[in-house]
Amino acid sequence: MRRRERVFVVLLSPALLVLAVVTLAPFAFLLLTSLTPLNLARPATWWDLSRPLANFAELPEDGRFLNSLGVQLRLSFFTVLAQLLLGLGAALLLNRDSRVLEAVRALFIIPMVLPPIVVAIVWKVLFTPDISVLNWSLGVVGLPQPAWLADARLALPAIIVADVWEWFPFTLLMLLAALQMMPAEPLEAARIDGAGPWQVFRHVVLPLLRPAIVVTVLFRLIESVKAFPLIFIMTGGGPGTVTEATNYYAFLQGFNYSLIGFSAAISMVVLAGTFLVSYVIVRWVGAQVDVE
Amino acid sequence: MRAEPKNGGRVTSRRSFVRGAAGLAALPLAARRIGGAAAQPARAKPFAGKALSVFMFDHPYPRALKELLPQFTELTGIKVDMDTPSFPVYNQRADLELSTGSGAYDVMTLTFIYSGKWIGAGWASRLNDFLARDAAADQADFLAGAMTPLKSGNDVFALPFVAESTLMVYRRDVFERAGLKPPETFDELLADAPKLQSGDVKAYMGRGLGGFHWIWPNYLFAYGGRFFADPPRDMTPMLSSAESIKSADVFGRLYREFSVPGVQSYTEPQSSTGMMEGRAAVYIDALAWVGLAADPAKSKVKDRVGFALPPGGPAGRFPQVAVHGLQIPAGAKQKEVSWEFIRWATSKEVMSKITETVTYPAVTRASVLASSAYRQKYNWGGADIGALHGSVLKQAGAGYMAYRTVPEYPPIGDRVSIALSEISTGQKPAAQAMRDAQRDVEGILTKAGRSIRKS
Repeated sequence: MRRRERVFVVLLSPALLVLAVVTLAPFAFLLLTSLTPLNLARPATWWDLSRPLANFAELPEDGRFLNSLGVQLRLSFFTVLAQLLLGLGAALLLNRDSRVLEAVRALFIIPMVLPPIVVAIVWKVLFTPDISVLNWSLGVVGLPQPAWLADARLALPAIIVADVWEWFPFTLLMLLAALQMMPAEPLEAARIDGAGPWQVFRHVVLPLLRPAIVVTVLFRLIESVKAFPLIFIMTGGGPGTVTEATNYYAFLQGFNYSLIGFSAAISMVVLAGTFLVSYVIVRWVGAQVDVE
Repeated sequence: MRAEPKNGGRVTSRRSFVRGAAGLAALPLAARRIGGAAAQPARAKPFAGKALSVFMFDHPYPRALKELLPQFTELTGIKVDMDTPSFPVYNQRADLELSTGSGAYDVMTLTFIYSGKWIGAGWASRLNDFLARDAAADQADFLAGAMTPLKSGNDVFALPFVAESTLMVYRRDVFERAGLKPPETFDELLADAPKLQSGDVKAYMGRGLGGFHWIWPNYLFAYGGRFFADPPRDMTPMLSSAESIKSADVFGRLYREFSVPGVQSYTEPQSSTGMMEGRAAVYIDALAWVGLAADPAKSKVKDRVGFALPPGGPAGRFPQVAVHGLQIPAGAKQKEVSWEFIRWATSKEVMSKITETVTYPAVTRASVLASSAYRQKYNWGGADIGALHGSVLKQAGAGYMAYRTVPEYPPIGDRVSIALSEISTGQKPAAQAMRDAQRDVEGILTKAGRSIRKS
């Protein structure tokens, strides 16, 4: 047994080494940097660990950082919710054996495989009044033609729309796969017992889908923190700071102002927040799934 | 069948070829031995075969330079790879690149608002030695207002290729129809704005996104405000003063009430295109951008525009200037080759050529500005652009631009842009937005170690 363990460790160690180099080392560097006031324009600030928590102490006083957390929460909540509802709806509609529906499924995947920058440019064009087909169409039917990205009330919803368009195919694919793997017996039993379509969905399909939904929401929630290209191309965080999500703010601090230490501290908070939310979802929703 | 030899019937054997080649290779050596160093011909292309990596932001000058690169390669034998992302992307990448000192680029643009930071941090090379031994570069020919921001004391760190003086372009036909004269003050512009609008034509075109802080100082100084108390000595921010709030309010109203929908998210190319398409009556921005309204090939309103100094206010007129130059990064590995490119790209010949072939009046050399070809070409709508440009550079030489080259300016400019964006989109009243900006800018300066008076 001990020999088997040794072989196991020897065989596993290259993979662990690679993982350590590509994941743990950058993480350790980020953590260490967040404990310094590193400013690229002032070389003396490299590895200055005299006040290790100064950056973190500054964060609660930074109004722009607090605002960015609010933007990030709204962005994550609405994008994941909309992607889940749209993806689930589309998956239920496409869960049939049909060549036509197979072709439609392929079409739905297109936004997801486009490079994020292309998606951002497409939506920037659609939301720019002078050149927008969307605005032109609204004008034709006599509706107001807003300046989507320059209007403080519409800029964040515009980014949410673009993000949902890009990523709801992911939830669609995940949930469609789960639907197609679903055993037919419980559904047939429910129908024989006289359950209507809504009751079948509510009491049979939805509980069986719950593990897939949890995993999908988790993936999308983690990914929602990465809406960077859309913000960078479409609004630059504006107007004002209404679309300045936390990762974009961290980017500005690090790469516009050279404050790498402070930027690393913001990144650590984002990382910790993502871990925490993921943990709560897995423990809370996952536990319910196990019980059922 | 054997092929006929092409050299008159004589067959060149491999051995005779090698012998001949060796003889040819030995010729220069023999010549040097016979005639000494003086007999050796001067090498016209000492850097032939070298490759240069040049990094500039997208702008009419580098666009024109790209067209001329084959001539540079023919002249020097140096191949050039030029990368030109947009202005904000350039600044982000350049700042990071220079901080690492990797030497990935041989020549880079020294951006005006980063000059204090990059020069202060030692990220740009001194060009004094190159200038001293290269009379053709003719440092004295660069306009003083264009050179000052690229120097520290007597040390030169870049040669300017653009001096962006702020000018106003206006639609003569729109003003005539409204029975108005071009505004002399921002108050006049605001009062005239409702009368200048009709149909698709709005009164005002500006620059949005992060560019607000470039245009607004024209207003700020005109109303008697200042960015800082007395930069760089006293860096106490003055953003929440009554003059500052008044100027920000007028600025915001022009964007909110009298501008093209969505202009708050426009980049410079979008704004200048809007003006070329005839979407606005007045456009205030840098010369290279407003000048495009007179572009004979692209502008739909080229025959209907006039040019003037930007409006002023109770305190006078303070047209803004931004100067960008070409530098050799401190980490560059072949500085002699880099210099070869810089001296060519900023030479009188190349600058003249560019002013002649494309619409580019924002020159930095006195000789080009004074040339008859320039004066003849850049006379638009009765306005002598060279005289306006020279006048702005001269005024800016008085020192009111000192606020913009302090090392802390980039994050402060960004923060001010946010406040102006909030005002121009109606998120906050001017007083609140500027007070919030004041508080944050005080924080930025304190963090940078500046001693300031808190409000």
